Amino acid sequence: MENLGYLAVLLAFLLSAYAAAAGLGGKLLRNPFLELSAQRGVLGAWLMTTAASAILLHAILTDNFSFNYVASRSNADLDLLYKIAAWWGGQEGSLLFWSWIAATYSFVAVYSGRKRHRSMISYVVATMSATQAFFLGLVAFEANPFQVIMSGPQITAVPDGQGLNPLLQHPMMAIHPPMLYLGYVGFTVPFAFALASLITRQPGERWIHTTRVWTMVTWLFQSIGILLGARWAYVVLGWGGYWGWDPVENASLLPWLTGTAFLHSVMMQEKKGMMKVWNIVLISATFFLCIFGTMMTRGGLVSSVHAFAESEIGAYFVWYLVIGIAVTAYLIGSRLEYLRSEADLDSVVSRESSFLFNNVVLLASCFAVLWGTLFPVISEYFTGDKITVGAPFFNKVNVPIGLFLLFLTGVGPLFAWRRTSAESLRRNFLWPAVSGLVCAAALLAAGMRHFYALVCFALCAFVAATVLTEFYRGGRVIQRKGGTGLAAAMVELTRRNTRRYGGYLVHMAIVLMFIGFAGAAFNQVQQEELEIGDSMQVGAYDFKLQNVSESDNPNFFRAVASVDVSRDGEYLETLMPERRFYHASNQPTSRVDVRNRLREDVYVVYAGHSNDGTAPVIQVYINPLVNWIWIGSLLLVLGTLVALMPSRKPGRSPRTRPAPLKEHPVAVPGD
Amino acid sequence: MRFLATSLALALAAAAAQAAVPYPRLREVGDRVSCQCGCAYTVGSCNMMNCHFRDPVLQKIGDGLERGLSDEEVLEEVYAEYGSETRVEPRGEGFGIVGWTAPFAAFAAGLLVIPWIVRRWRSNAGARSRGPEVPDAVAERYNAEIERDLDQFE
Repeated sequence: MENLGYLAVLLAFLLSAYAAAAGLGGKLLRNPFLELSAQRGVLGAWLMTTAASAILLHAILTDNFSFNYVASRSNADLDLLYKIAAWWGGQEGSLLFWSWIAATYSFVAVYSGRKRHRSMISYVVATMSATQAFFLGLVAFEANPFQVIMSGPQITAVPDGQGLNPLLQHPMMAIHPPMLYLGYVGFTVPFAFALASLITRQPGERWIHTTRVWTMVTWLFQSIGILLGARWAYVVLGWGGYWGWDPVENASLLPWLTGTAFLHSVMMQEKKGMMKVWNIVLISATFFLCIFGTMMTRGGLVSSVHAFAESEIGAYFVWYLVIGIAVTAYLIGSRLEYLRSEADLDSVVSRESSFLFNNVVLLASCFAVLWGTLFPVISEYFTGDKITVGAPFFNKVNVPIGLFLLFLTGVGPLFAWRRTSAESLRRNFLWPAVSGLVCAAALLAAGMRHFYALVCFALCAFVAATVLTEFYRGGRVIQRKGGTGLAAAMVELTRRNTRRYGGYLVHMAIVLMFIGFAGAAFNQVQQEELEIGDSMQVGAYDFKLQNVSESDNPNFFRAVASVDVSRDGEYLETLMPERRFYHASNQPTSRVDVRNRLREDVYVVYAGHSNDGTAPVIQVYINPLVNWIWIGSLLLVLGTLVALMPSRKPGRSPRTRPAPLKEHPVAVPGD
Repeated sequence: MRFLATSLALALAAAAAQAAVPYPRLREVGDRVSCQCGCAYTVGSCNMMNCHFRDPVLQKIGDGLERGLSDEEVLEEVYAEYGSETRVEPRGEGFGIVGWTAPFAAFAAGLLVIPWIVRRWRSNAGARSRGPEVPDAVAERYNAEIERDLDQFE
């Protein structure tokens, strides 16, 4: 099996390399048969990658511990879900998983776009296959998951594996990496189309539409991946937070920020033929940041709790980045003439300007995150002192930038394209501005003095008012004409322009998330050693340790603390945080228990034991408003899905069912 | 029994829990020291059992605060003993100033570029102008009319 698996990887690598060469060669030699064979190469590479993945998965699921990878990442008593997750739980398997996703994307992108983008599809094939060949080359020659355990000349097997990292044994961790990979790898598609358009000097806008849709799909996956990661960190890592500004977390945020900037600025190109160079730069930056992020996770550039073991593959990534960026820069530089703007700016007070600001702020945020992430490396290079930059730095730098971005989220939709009249400004800004000011005044009157939180809540009110006003005004117009209810009219409004109103839903989701972020300013934490029957108080809550029960199963031992939670003397519920000790990996981990409410979370951690081992150490966090982040996450997914749906033309679909034809009934077959 | 033995070995945060300094204060100061156990968090947030780094640092912070030192003085003692890699922020001097100012400088540069882009786009517009300029007052009137029409649309 191991030979078959490795053979499949080698064939996939060769087929990808061939597809890249044949796609490029077919175009340069004007040989359509070669171009067609490149497309067949994409299919072949996908089949071989799928076969290799199936063989590895089979080895994991059947506990074939003669495979080095299976022995080090899985064990016999692991749940089925986590056995599947072991596929991407280690360096070698995750690179194969990455390659399989890349092959699947290539297959779908090429076969769905080969007719629509006939003139450029071979370059798309070449770009995507070259990237795929790079990763498959790493799997084949540097990180082979099909290595077996040898005892002399004989293949041997260990009795049981070392198991999956306990932190990864959580349902969310089974979904989070695939989503993130779908995001990371998916940005190859828009980049490939952008590069192909540069090479072929495409003047048309069709490719930009395709690129936008692919970017939005990929952006959605990336968003889900990031948010699931945040949620996982919240419920598994047990430190009461959801974002620690860890280098690997940051690596996922970087392409998301540039991708978000692209999704905004691409509208300028679609509607006005402007910012063409900028859009190419943005989508290229997004792609290269994905590769850079992968290098950070796997190449040992920075240390992280999420990173794979340090390996030698970082150098390959550096070369890939250098060559890729050089080629892209050359293509952009040599085709500036074709990327010239088709329209001009009429006024500074316009939607166009707001997009410019939006892009600058998003990129500033991206730079700030990148700078902080690399600062240990930079500071060590220049001064010899390695300074690890942590959450306090990132928060100080990113909070003001983030608030400015939130402000622009509200301002942007209020400006008209081309220019905005003073009257229009006054009318559009009035209610949102009043909402923001009233919110700020009310919170001040209520005693809130935290500056950033105050500004954030006021801006949230401002942005929410702009979004709601947009829905209300559009809905009213349809309501007046159709005589439907306002809610139904708003739904109809959304269906008529899914992209615009889906985008507004995403803006609303961002508002909800910022409400959750601002809540962190009022977090409370306490930690105490509690004997059975002891109590502790945090805020308005009392926590009483009732008992600690222990149980064992083949995978892990667990100790569960039963903590009664009450408020003002009234019993609310019993929370049961636990500590686990995994037998296969000899690693302990925690499982927090949370009382989720819209107002605040009560988050209890069984943090360990006192020095003499008798008294459990219980940590309690009161996290106000944190649930709005997860609610916002769901709305973000919904809004993006709405934006991806095609809009309905108002005139085309009948609103009332036609009356049945009574006079001339038509015979229906089968009646 | 296996767990009890493990628990003894992996005892956590005892120093923090036993210190006379309230835990939220320890955590507040501890969040300004980078943990070196590999968790990539601060010693305030590190939740690793049996963390060999967090417990002595929290102990040191607790001792310092009990002696009446300020947060900054305690932190300077910690950084001096455990090295500059335990800092979570660049210093306010030397190369640290670059660390602090670079993101804001990039942001400011971006904001300054916008007027330049806008001027360039507008001058292009002037150069390519195909007809007489419409005075602002007239344009304003037309825009207001369009807005009114759009309001009454459908």
